[in-house]
Amino acid sequence: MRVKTFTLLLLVMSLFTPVLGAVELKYKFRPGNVYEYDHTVTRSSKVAAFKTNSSQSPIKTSQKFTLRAIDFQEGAHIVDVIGAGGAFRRYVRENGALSGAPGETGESVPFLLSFPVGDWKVGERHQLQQTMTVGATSVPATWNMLLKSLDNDKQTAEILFNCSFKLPEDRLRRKEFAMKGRAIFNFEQGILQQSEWVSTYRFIFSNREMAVGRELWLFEHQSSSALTLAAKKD
Amino acid sequence: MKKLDSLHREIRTILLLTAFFAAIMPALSAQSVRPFDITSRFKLWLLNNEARAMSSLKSDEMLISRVSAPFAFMPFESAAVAQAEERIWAIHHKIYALVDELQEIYSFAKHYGNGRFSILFKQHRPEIWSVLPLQVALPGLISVVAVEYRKAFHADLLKSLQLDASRDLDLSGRLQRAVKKLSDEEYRLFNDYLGTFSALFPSDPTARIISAFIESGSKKQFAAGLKDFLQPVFTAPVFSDINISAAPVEPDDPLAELEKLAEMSAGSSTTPETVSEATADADDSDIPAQPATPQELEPPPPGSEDLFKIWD
Repeated sequence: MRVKTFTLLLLVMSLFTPVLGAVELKYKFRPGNVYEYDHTVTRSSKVAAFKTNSSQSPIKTSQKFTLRAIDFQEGAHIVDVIGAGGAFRRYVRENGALSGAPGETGESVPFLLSFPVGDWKVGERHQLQQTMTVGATSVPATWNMLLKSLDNDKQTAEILFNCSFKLPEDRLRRKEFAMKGRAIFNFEQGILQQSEWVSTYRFIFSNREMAVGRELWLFEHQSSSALTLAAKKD
Repeated sequence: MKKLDSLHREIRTILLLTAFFAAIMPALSAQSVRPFDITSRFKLWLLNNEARAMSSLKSDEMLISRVSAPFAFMPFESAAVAQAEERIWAIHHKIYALVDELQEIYSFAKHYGNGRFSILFKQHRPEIWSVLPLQVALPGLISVVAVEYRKAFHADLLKSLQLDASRDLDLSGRLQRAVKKLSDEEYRLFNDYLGTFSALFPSDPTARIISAFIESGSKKQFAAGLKDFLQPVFTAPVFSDINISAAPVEPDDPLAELEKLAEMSAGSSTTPETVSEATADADDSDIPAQPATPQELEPPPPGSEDLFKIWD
């Protein structure tokens, strides 16, 4: 009887093994390799002022950029990012965090996505937090990431992510911001194959005097981005 | 003792300086206030709101851009694109231009629309006085050059007053042209802003005055008496006419109509008390009665209540 129960348990566990899989996601840029990416951003917006509406139809901008892997030193990949704005050297850690950007000294570095160190189980959440500062405004921001699935045949991991932070508000300004996306990471080659993310921003500006309140303007901005690995050259 | 005198002198100096500044402060502060201002508060309200919204939009954009490029190996900068709000700012720009134009028309009507300035100018006749030496020295030449001289003087006068005869001849038309620069949708937005301003600040009449000025000013001709002032007919002056005390009206005088208007109005609107006082003063002195500077002009046409007191 015990043997039967044990066998059944093993069978059930073996069935769920792929689902409960885990993998360590690490960037593995190979020195000498060149990676070409297409980055497309589509933006649209609209504004309403009383009965007057104005909308900006979607504007699509595309740019290609090239990644030249140079070396791997002290736990970071040395890569040159060559885009329309010039060439910038970056030191990218294996988990995707940035350890240095000498060509962009003085510029504010974005709040970047990075993977957890070690195995990441399917269905497990990973969270990053940072306080973003612009001028006198500081806003705590959070990246939430979820390893949704692993495809062992294609050797890819599907990651869902979203970003949440509260934009500064007061009694005249109400704001909403949401951002979410998806990324496909090739854990065998250690490169990002594809990613899409969308963000929406909504801002209502009103006036309030004593008991009288009037909404003046509603601003809405939408942005959708797509990043695709176009080519990899050895 | 010397110290006491010195102290007294210092106190006196301080008191004098304080009194001096107290006397000139109202004049200095009055210089910063625009005369007949009906638009500043509304314009500042819209400008301030616009600035606050722009500031928030930019600040939020900078924060959002910090998460717009989430991977360390991609370029951080993103191409700027035009946003929909730029159309609203463009409409506001047109509204500001309209509001400034309204203010200019209103100020012009208030300054010159009642004709007092024109009458005062006509009474003193600087352009005629200035050619008197020419009249004495070269009487034959005066008939040749006087008309051109008066034309040039009049043109310079209008220029110095920042008036343009072709533009200001028809103030109602100028008002209508200014309003028509806004499309129906843009004008509706302007009206919505005026309504919002009135709702937010019920004790502030600014927006209501602007609305009423546009409505009534577009329908009726106002300050029409300035037509002759802006486009006069020039003839050479006659020496005998240059007499302030008699002040005869030349048939072709550009301000004759206004002067007549003023005399009629002054005569009809003088109260009995002022008439008796004036008569008593005249009886007491040997000085011949001078035509008084008109205090009242013709009131606005019946049924058209003038909110802006252009005629008062």
